[in-house]
Amino acid sequence: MADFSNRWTKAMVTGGNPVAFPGMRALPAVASADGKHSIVCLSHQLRVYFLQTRQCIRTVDVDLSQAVAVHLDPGSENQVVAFTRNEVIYVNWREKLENAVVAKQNLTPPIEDLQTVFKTLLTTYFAISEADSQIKIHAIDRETATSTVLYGLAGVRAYATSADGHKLAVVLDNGDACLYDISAAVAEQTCVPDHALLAASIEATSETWAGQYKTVTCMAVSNSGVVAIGTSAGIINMLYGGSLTGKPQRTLRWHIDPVHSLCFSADEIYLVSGGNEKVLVFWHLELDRTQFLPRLAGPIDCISVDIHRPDHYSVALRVSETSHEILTISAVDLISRLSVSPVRPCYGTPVRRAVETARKKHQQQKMDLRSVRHNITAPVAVHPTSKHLYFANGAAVQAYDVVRGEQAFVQHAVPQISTGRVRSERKVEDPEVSALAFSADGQWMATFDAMPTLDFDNLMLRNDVSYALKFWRWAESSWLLALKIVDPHGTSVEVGAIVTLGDHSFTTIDTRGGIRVWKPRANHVGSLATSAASAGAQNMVTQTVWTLRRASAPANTVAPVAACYSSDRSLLAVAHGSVVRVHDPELLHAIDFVLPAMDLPIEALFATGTHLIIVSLRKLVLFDLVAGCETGLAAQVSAPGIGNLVAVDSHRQLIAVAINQFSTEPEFALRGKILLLRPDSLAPVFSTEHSLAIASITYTPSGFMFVDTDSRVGVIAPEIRQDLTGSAEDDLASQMSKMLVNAQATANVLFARSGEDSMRTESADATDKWTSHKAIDVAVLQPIFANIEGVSLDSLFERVVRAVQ
Amino acid sequence: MSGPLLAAKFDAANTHLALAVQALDTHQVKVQALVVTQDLLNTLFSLSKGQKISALEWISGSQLAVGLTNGQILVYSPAQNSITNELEGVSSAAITDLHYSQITSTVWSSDAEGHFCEWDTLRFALLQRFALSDMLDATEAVSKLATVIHQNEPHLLVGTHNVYLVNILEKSIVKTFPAHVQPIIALTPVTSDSDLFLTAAEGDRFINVYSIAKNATRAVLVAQLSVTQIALGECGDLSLVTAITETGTLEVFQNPLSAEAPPQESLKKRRKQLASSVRSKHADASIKYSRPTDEIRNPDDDFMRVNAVSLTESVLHTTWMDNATISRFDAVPWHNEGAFAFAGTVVIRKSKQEIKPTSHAERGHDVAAPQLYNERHTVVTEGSAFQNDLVNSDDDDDDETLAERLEKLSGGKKRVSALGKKKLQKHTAGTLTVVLSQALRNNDHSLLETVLANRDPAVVQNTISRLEASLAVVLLDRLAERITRQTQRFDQMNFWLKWIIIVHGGVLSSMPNLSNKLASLHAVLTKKATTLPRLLELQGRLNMIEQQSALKKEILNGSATQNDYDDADTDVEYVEEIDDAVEAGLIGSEDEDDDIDMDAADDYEEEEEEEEEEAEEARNLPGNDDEGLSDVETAVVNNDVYEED
Repeated sequence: MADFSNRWTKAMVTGGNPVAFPGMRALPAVASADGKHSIVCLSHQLRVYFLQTRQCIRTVDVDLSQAVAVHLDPGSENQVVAFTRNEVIYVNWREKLENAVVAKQNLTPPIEDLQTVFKTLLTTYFAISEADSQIKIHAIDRETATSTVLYGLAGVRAYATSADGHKLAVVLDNGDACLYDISAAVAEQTCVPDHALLAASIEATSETWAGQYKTVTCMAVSNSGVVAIGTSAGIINMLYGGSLTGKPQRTLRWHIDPVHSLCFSADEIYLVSGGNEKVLVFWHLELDRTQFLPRLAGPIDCISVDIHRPDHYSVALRVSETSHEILTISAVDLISRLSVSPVRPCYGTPVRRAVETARKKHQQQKMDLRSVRHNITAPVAVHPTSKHLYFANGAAVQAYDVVRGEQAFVQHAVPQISTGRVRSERKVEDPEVSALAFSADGQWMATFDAMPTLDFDNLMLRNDVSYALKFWRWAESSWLLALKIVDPHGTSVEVGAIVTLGDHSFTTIDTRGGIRVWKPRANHVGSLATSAASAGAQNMVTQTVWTLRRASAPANTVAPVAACYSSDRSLLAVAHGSVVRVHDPELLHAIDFVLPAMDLPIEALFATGTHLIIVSLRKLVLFDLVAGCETGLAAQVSAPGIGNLVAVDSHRQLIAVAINQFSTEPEFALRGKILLLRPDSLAPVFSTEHSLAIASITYTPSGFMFVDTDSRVGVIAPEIRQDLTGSAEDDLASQMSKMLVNAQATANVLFARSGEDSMRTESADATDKWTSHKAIDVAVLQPIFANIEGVSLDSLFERVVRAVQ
Repeated sequence: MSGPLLAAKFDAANTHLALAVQALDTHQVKVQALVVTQDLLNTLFSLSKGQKISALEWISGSQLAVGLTNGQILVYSPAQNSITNELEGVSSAAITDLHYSQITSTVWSSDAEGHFCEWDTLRFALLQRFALSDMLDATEAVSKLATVIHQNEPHLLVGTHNVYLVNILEKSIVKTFPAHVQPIIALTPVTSDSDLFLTAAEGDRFINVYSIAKNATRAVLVAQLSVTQIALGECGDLSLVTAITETGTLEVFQNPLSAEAPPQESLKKRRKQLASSVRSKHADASIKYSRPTDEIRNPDDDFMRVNAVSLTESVLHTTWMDNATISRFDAVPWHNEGAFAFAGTVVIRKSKQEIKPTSHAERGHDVAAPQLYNERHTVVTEGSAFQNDLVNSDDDDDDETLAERLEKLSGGKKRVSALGKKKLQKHTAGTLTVVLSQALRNNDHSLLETVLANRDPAVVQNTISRLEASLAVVLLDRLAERITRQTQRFDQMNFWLKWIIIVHGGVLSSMPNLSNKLASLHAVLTKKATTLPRLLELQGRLNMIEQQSALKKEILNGSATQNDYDDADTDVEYVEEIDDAVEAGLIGSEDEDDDIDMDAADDYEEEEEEEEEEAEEARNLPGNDDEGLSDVETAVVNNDVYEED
C-alpha cells in the first residue's frame, strides 16, 4: 500500500465561466478569420466551436482569468492574443502543439488600469486604460510589448470606441458628450509621435453636445460617427456626428430599465440594445422600425458584432451573479447558432461576498479564520445513466454534460415569468426548485419546488406557499412532466429531502417528520375508464402515474431534514434536526435503535456498507450500525452546507470530504482541499488542494466530481489501476521504467500527427496498462459520436478517454 | 419532362443546371449548382403571373435567357437572382427556341411566326431579324435552331419538321433536308465534324444523322421509345449519343458517326433504296436510375426519370428529382481506356439523400433556449390522494375476478335493456349525456371541456341524471383533476359535482373501494374545506369593519345634526329626482357613501406613493436634472438599484 495515494488524480474537466472583461466592453469570444469558428475564452480554457454544427472541436487549457481583452492575432489567423494588465499572451487555437501558449510577453510598463484593447494592427495594439475618470489611449508594440501613452482625457464618465477604432466618444463628468476622431493616433506607428501635436490634432476634431447625459450607462459609436448613449432611465440618445448643419439628435424609447449594452450592426443600419428586460432590441435607424428578440436566458450585458462575422450578433447574458452565457445569434433568422454556458450551481452565498465579509471582520477584530461562516456550497445531482450533472437553480434545472464540457440543456421546472424583471416586478418572488432526485434507471426525475404566492395585492394568502412534487419522464432527449402533485405532504408542509431506493420508488421526507413513499402505476383514471366502458378498451392510456403508497404521520418538529437508505435497502435513516431515527422502509415504522445525537442540526446522511455517516454542522461522525458504536473517523468540521461537501463511494468504501479554509497568503482567499478517507481512520487515503473553494462534491462511478466556486468542474479519479496481484512493492527500477512508459505514451498521444499513430500506441499499451475491466455505459459513449463533423481527432479521443475513465 | 418540370438544361461547363418549373399558376426559373460543396448557388426566381416559359438557354456561363410565350426574352442572372435585361420581341408570337451560338457569339431566337432574331449578348440589342417565309413559299413553324460552319461561313440550321440550312449573311436557304413528319425537338450539330448534325422529332423513335455535304441521311439511330432529348459526346475516335426517352430512361448509341455506311452501291440504286440503304442502328445500352432494392417502397422508387443529360469529353451528366423538387446529379465516365463504359441494360442505384440541415430549432423552439415548463399533458393530483396498495393491489385493475365478470355481464344486460327503455323515452334537447359519455369513454379532454363549459342548471341536471353511474365515477375523477389544476374553476365545476352527488350518490356509496377511486376528489374537497377557518377570519374582519363604519356614521350623523342646529340657514338643496332615486334604490344611500370615503382615503395614500415613485422616475430623466438634485446622488442611487438586482 505504499503508493496508494498516488492512485488518485485530480483533473479539471471544464474551463469555468466565460471571462468577464472589465465593464463588459467586449465579449470573451472571437470569430476566426473565415467566420466559421468561434473561439470562446473561459477563465481556464479556450474552446473552439465549429459554428455550423455547434460542436466544440478543440479545447486549449490556458489560464485567462485575468485577461481583459482577447483578439484574433492580426499576424496569424491561427493565433489569438489575450491581454492582461501586465502580459500579452499568444495562444494557438487551431493546431495541436506541445504548448499551445506560443508566446508570453511582459507589458513594459504594465498598464495598471487596462480596460480594453480596441484595435489591433500588424505592428501595434491600441488599448484604453481608465483610472479616476481619466482615460488614456496606449499603444502596445507587438514586437517588444512596450506600451506608450498616446493621448489622455480627464473627467470621463463613460466612453466608447468605434469598430474600426477611429472614433472615440465620451461623456464627460459635466454631462457633455464629445466625439473625437482618433484615427491620427491609431495608425501604424513609424516614429514616436509628438504628444502635444497629436493631442492638438485630436482635440481639433472634437464635436461636443452640451450636457444632459449624466445618467449614461453605456454607449456606442459607429464608424461614421453616430453616437448612441444609453441612460439609466432606459432612453437611448442618438447624436449624429460629422454633420455640418447643427447637431442633429434623437431619442429611442423602449427600455424602462437602464440600458446595459449598445452595439451598431456591421452595416450601421441597425442599433442593437439590451438590458434587464432580457430582450434584444433592434432599432432600424433609417426606417424607424424596431424588432424584438424576447425570452433570452438572462439580462443582456454585452452585445457585439465580430468583424469577421458581420451577419451574426454575439451577446453575453447574465445567467447568475458571476457567470455569463455567450450566445451567438444569426442576424438573418435570429435563431441561435451557438450558446456557451458554464455550470450554474445555486450557491448559498456568492463566494466573493463571503470572502469580503470575512476579510473585513478579520481586519477589524482578528476573526478566527479557521471556519467559514457562510454557506458557499451548492447542491448537485448526477444522472445515473447519462452522467450529466444536474443543478437546480431557481426555477430551472440545468443539465451539464461533463464529458463534452458543455451544457446539455436547461429545463424550466416551474412556471415563471420568462421575460426579464423590471422595476416593481423585482418584488415578485421566483419559484424555486429545492430538491431533485433520479430513479435508479435514470428514466424518472422527481423535483420539488416551492412557489410563493404572487404578492401583488395585499391579501391574506400572501404568506402562502404552494408546493409541488413533480415527476418527469425521460423521453428521447428531454424531460416530460408526467405528474404534478400539489402539496404532496399537505398544505404548507415543505419536503426536505427526496431519496430513492434502488427500485422504482421515491421517498419524500418533509420538514415535520412525515415520510411518504411514491410508486408508479398505470394511470388509474384511464384504467377506470376502460373497465367501466368495456367497448373503449383500445383507448387504454399508457400514462404512468405516481401515487402515494405509504405515509407516516408527521410530528410537530420543524427542522432541516436529511435521509438515506442503507446500502442493502433494509433501513431508512432519517434525520430531523439533530436526531437520527431509523425506519423500516416497508411500513415506515421507527425502529428502536439508539443513534448518537448531535448537538447541531444534521445536514446530511450517507450509508456505506454497515456504516452510517452523519454530517452535522459541526461534526462528521461515522457510526457502525453492526457494532453499534462510532468508528475512528470522527472529525470536527465547521462549514454551513457541509452536506454538499461530503460524498461517498460505497463501492470502494471511500468518503470524500471537501474542506474550505481561508488563507492570507499570498492574498486573502478561500482555498479548498479534498480528502479521501476510509471509514475507519482519520488518515486520508489521498488529499489534494485546490486553488479555489469547493462548492460541492458528488460521487459518480468514474470518480468524485467536484464543482468549485468559479463554476469549474473537476474530477478525482482513480489512476490507471495496476494489477493488484502483481508485485506490491515496486523497486526503483521498475517504477522508473513504468514512469518512462507512461511518459512515452503521453508524448505519443500528444505528438501523434496522424490519428492512426495515437490509436496504435493506445492499443499496444492496452494489454498491460489499461488492465481494468470496466463496463462502459453506451448511454455515455453514444452522444460523443453523435454529430462529430468537424471535430478534430484528438479532441474526440480526449472525450472518449474521459468517458471511459 | 414530367410533372411540374417544363425544361431542364445544363450550362456549357456542366457546373449548373437551369430548370423551368411550374409552381401553381406561375412559372419559376431555378438554378442549381451540381456540386454543392464547391458552389452554393441555388436560386429560385418566380416570374410574374401570365409569363409562361417556352424556352431556356444559357448565355455564356453566368446568364440565362428565358423565352416566354408572349414573345419576350428575359435575361436572368442566377448570381443576382434577378432579371437583368429584357429583350423586347418585335412580335408577340411565342418564342419557340433560343440558341446561343458559339460561332457568332450571339443569341438566336425563333418565334412561332417563323421569324428569327439575332441578339447581341453584351448590349442585348437586336442585330437582325428575318423570317423563314421570306425565303420559303410555304409557312412552317420553326421549332429548333442551331448554327454551323458551312463553307467557312456561319450558317443557321433551322428545324421545322424539315431542316433548312440558311446563309445568315445572304438570308437565303442553301439546302433543305426533308427530315421528320413531326416538328423537330432536337437539333445538334456535331462539333468535330461540321458536316454532320443530328435531329430528333416529337413523338419519334428515330434520331437522324445528316451529312450536309451529301445532303442526305447518313445513319438512323433507333430508340426503343420516342426521344425527348439528345446529347452528343466525343472524345478522339469515340463518340456517344445518349437520348432520353419519353419514360425517362437513357439510351446510349456508341460511335454513331464514325462507322461508314454499308458497302457503296450505284448512285441510282441507292437513291431508290434510300430507306433501306441508310444504316440504322439500335441502342447499345440503356441506363436506368433506381433506388437500392431495400429502399424501394413504391413504383416511383424503382425508376427515377432522368430530366436532363449532358455529355462532356469523358463524363455523362444526368439529373433527376428527389421528392419531385430537389434535383440530384450524377456524373458517370462514359469511356474507359478506349472502351465504352456501358453495355446492355445498366441500372444505377442511388439511395435517397437524407436532407439533414443542422437543426437550430427543435419543434419551433430554439435549441439554445431553456426548455420551458409545460404541464398541458400532465396529470395533476393532490398530495393527500392516498392509494394504499395494501388494500388494493396494483393488478386488480387488470385481473378481474370471475364474480366481477359475471356481475358485469349481467350489468351489461341490464344496461342494454335500460338503453332500450331510454330509446323509447323522448329525447329532450336539453341534455349532453351522449356527448359526455363519449368524452369520458374516449378520454377526450377537449370534448369534455366543451361539455363542462355548460352552466345551465337545467342542462346539467338532466345530463347527470341520464349519465351511467359507472361513468359518474370517472367524471368525478376528471372534475377533481381539473379543480386541482386550476383552482379558480371550482365555481364552474361546483354545479356538476353537486348534481353528480345528488343523482348518483346512492350508487356511489354502494361501490366497493370507493375511497381509493375518489381519493383525489376527496383530497381536493378536503383542501377546499380547510379554507373555512380563513374565510371565517375574513368574515370576522369584515364584520368589524362594518361595525366600525356604522359607528363612524353614527358619530358623523350626530355631528351633522349638531351642525344643523348651529347655523340654521344652511343651504339645503333639495332635488326631487335624487331623493326619488335613493328611495327606489338606484343610487346608494348614505352609509355606502361613507364606505366610498374610506376607500378614497386609502386611494389617496396610494396615490401619494405613486407620486413619489413618479418623482423618482422623473429624477432619472435627464431633462429634470437641473431641478436641484445632485447628479452624483442620482447616479449613486441608480447604481445601488442596479447592483441589487
